This record gives sequence, structure tokens and C-alpha cells, in this order.
Amino acid sequence: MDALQIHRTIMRIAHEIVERNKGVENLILVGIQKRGVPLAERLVVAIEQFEGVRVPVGAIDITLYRDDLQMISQVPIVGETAIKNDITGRVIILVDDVLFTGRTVRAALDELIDFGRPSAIQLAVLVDRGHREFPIRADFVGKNVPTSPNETVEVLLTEIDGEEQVVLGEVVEDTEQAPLERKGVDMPANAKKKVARKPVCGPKAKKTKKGCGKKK
Amino acid sequence: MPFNRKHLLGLEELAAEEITTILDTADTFKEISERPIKKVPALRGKTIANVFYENSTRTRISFELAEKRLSADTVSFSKTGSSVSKGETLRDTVENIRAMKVDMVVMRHGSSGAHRFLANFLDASIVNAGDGQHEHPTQGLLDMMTMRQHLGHLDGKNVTIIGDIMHSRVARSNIWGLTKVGAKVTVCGPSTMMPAEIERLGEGGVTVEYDIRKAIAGADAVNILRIQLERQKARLFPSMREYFEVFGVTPEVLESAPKHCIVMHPGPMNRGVEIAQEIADGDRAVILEQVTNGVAVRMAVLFLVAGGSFDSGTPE
Repeated sequence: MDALQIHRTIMRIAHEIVERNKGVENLILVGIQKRGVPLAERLVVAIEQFEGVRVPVGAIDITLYRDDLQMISQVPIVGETAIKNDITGRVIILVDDVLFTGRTVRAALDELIDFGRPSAIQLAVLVDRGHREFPIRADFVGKNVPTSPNETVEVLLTEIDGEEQVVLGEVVEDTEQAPLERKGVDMPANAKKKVARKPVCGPKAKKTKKGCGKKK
Repeated sequence: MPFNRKHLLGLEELAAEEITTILDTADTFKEISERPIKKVPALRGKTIANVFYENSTRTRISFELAEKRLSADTVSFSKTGSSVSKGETLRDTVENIRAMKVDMVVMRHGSSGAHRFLANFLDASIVNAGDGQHEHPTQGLLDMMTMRQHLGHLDGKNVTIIGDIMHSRVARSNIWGLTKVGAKVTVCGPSTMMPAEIERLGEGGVTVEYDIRKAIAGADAVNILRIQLERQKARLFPSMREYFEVFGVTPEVLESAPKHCIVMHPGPMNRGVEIAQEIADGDRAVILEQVTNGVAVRMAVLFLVAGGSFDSGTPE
């Protein structure tokens, strides 16, 4: 996906959210650190453009609720959690960039209900790459990208990475973080990750000037 | 820089980036104490023993709250009414507690270096809550966190520490932590309570100044240490009254400092001895913020140390 496709997808998701919830009343968007946060902000801006209402937005960092906290060798950096409104009785739209095993969302759910009792939680993701390990599904999906377990999907956003695209990659080397990588749980920014970002041929590929890479 | 250490024994051996990591983590942990449910599952199932050989209320409660807010199980052990009064050695006491499968030990002890001694044979993580006159690293860190909140980056800032520097582990931790991140430290107090060669302590040394008004001229923060009554009995200063006259921080004395200068105190305060009533209750004092930050800093330290595996080894 390139910048224009990402933009259009976000606009479509914004419309879907308002359509499904029959308006914006009682909605709060909550982005999951890291890349869910700018996505949530963009959705709020988009909704404001066609509804004229600015929906409240927050951010949560799920690091402390991870189920693998005792196993990872490097202590992850804990990001900011900011939920300024009372969530009890409201509809939360959780926003993240990639849905993979579902463990991140499980952690986010546990953390959210420590803040109050929402009337509903819905999930919006830019990319669903399959391989769920928990019974979790997204309500709003930008794009379905079927992958194999040794592939990675990275969403790059201007606010964080300085560029806009969704990149498919392949893991080439085992690092000591390998078990974590295979599960694709949100990785801390400081993790060492060896990934070969080979452009993969096919309709979903990002076309490079060098042309397609090797077919797998 | 990730913090990878298994123990927190002092600030002297930390790199500036490690200190920054702890403070940044503490900033995010502060928010947890403002949630409706003040708990995260980060240390769920871990058992932490608070072993306090010296009296303490605020430090012990602060650690206990930090532990509980991280969902850890805590046991507290204090010297009075325990096996220590029956003559049990430090090593035996702690090994007994350890045999009950405790994951971390938070300890305050009257002997400098007690924690390093323990770290050499205990495989639990050890966090120093104060050892003798050596260091009180979590106090140093919470002081720095409070300063950062008011002053921004500490690099280049001026901090003056006033009081009984000779007997103060708080002063030493402050000196190490602050000089490592590039702050300029001045120490001030009676010459009877100023250790020899203190100007060489820390990364780059500190300035010694005996005139309180000169010491705080240009200070961005003033950290006032508690004067202990026992020191007066040891003839280190003539009387509380005279200490207050010469070294007490009063509104008039504070006029020598810049308007934005914040006033700090590790507590508990002796009002009218080292700090005047009006200053203690005034709006330049950030003393209660220090206490709030203390819980956040201790949560950060426990979280980071629990995930760490690196032991810096016995110093030469």
C-alpha cells in the first residue's frame, strides 16, 4: 500500500465506523502504541471532516499487560497511556496498524477495562495479516494481507517513520528474540530484528524501481 | 538505552543514558497512580521482600505501594521484634527469606556496602533503599525526576544541596546522578559536616561553598537535607537555633536565588531548623511532588530491574 491507498483506506474506515455506530455519539477512539496512535488521530480528523464533530481520542501502551513480559530478554520501553475521558458507558474504537496473533488486542482489552466499563469495544486495523492465536477479530479492516509465518508486515507512517507505506518483509535470521518475532507481537522500538525487506511479487507488492524480487 | 541491570545498588555505576531511561520510564508510570484502578499486571506473581534494618516510614510505604501497583506480592521485614534482635547475621536473615523463593529484595541497611555484599551471593535482584552513608539511589532519582519536571533538561542546570553532607547518602546519590547528566552541583553546610575532598565526588566534581547566599545565587533548584539531632549532641554544630540562623532556608535567604528556583527536601522536615515554615508551606517548595514522584520512580526501578540480567560485578 502506498500513501494514497493508506489515505483512502483510512477515509473508508472512518465512514464505516460512523455508519456502524449510527453516528458519533458516545464514541471514543483509542490508539494502541505506537502506530495505532497516529492512525486513531487521522480517523478522528477524517470523521470531523464529514460529521463536523471531533470525537475524543486517547492512547494506550500495552507493554505492562503483555503476556510475554517475563520472557523477553530486553526490557521494553513503556510508552504513554493517556485516556482523559471516562470510558464507562461509551463505545471504544480500538485502533492498531496490524492485526496478527491477537495478543496485543487481548492486552489492550484487559487494560481498557481497568479504566472503566465501556458499553462496547470495537476494533479497527489497517492490515489484517491472519494467523490469529486468540479468538479475536477486527470490526473494521483496511486491507486483508494473507501472509506466511516467516513474513512480516510493517506499516510505516509519516508521524513516526517519515514515510508512508505498508511493506511486506521476510525474516532471514534468528535472533535471540526469534520466538517473539514469530508471534509478531508489537515489538519495542529498540529490539534488534533481522528482516530482509524484499519486495514480494504479486498484486499487493510495492513496486520498486529495481523491479520485482525473487518469487518465493 | 535499555536498562539491563539485575540490581540497583547506587547511581555511581550507572551511565547517564541508563539514568535517563529510568526517569523516562518513571514519567510513564506516574500516570498509573492516577487511574481509577491503580494497578498494572507487570510484576504479577513476583514476590518482593522489603528488608529494613533502619527505621523508615515514607521510603518503606513508597516501595510497598510501588510493588502493589505493579501487582507484586510484598512482605515487609523490619529490624525491631525480629530475629536480628536475637543476633542473626545479615546473610542468614536474607538467605532465610530467599529460601522462601523471594524474587527481589529491597533493603535499607546501616552499613555502607551491605547491598553489594548481598549481591555477590544472592541470586535475587537487590534494590538499595539506603545503605549507611553511601547511597540512596531511588531518592536521587526521584529528586532528579522532580527537577526535570520543573526545569526541563538537567544538563547545565545548577543545583545546590544544603545540610549535613558528610552523613548524607541522599547528597551522594544526588551528586552522582546530577553530575552524570551534566548538571552543576554546589554543596553547602557547616564545615564540621563537610567531608574532606568532597569537591572531587561525582563526574567532574562539585563546588563547595560555606556562605548560603552565595551557594544559592544562580541555583535552579535547592535541595535541603535534614539535620539530625544526634549530630548536635556530637558537637557538630552549637544549637538548632544557630544552625537555622546560618544555614536555614528562609524567605529572606531565598531572595538570593533566581525567582524560578524550586525548593526540595527529602523529608521528614525539621521545621524551623533547616527550613523555615513559610518556605515549607510556600509555593516554591515541591516537597509533596517529590513524594508522588517517589512511587513512580520506584515502580520504574522495580520494573526495569525485574527484567534485567546484567550484574556489574564487584568493584575493585
